[in-house]
Amino acid sequence: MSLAERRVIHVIDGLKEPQGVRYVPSVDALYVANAGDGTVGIYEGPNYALKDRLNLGDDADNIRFDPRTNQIFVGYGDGGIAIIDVLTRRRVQDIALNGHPEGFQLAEDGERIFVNVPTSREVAVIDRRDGKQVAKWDLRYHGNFPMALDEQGQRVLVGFRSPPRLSAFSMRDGAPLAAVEVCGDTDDVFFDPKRARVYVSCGEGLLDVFGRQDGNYQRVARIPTSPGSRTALFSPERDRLFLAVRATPVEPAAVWIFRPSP
Amino acid sequence: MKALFVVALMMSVGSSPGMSQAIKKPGDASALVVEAKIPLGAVTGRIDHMALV
Repeated sequence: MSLAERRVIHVIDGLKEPQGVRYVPSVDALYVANAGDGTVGIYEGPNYALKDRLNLGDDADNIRFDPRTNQIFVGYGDGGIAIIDVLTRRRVQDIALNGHPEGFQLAEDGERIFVNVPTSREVAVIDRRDGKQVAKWDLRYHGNFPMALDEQGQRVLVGFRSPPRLSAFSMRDGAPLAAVEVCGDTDDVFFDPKRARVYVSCGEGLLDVFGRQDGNYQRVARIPTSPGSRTALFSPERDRLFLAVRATPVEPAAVWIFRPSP
Repeated sequence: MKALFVVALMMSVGSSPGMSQAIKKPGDASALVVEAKIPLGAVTGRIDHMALV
């Protein structure tokens, strides 16, 4: 999709339940994780040609990228994160987990990964130096799917589906710091460092906006969207929130672009 | 592949009613203001992940 032209310009089809997508500018490559066949496809160049395909086995899901190490991280299967070197396109390491990883984030310190593992109701803390889980934060609520990091406040923000909650944990030791009710069927959480705000997108058809004040979270706005529209992306660099709006019987599928204000 | 946006669709291509209809406006809360809506064409299904290029 071209943001400048505001239209779809290319479609890659034939994929098996595509999940995580990530573009790596240093090698001009697009990585796509496929849950259906457990593969990661690597596409390059102006024609998005398939250059390579790595088989992770099962349920390839979320993708993250560390530009400092040129490594792609892919959550997959019944409990693993595969690390792929983008220069060699080879899987160089695996991190074992207690269940399938949902939302996970790489800390800015370059040393830790925080991982939502809903099936074991925990946040796993990974030490990247040896690729091992070094801590497990037991959770009070269920369905911890989305995660964001508030590096300013040294907090890990976790969205829960049952009951619908946003919880903040200390990045240092996992101590619970705050919790607030959110919209239902939450799927993405983002921290806006410029405004110290949190955006929560929900399949219920709502966007919740919270401000962080004195360590707690106050709802700034609750914005109706469209049922099932729970996938979002916030770009601090572009200062925009993108919401994927699936087709309904009365509306076509679209990406809505929101401008935060003030 | 510059200035692009990538969407992972678990999609099926088919008729999608309402392409010509006006898209319902979300709420008027000023914290997030709708700036644009980019149609994805006649696709249905879950949209699960996105990325910026």
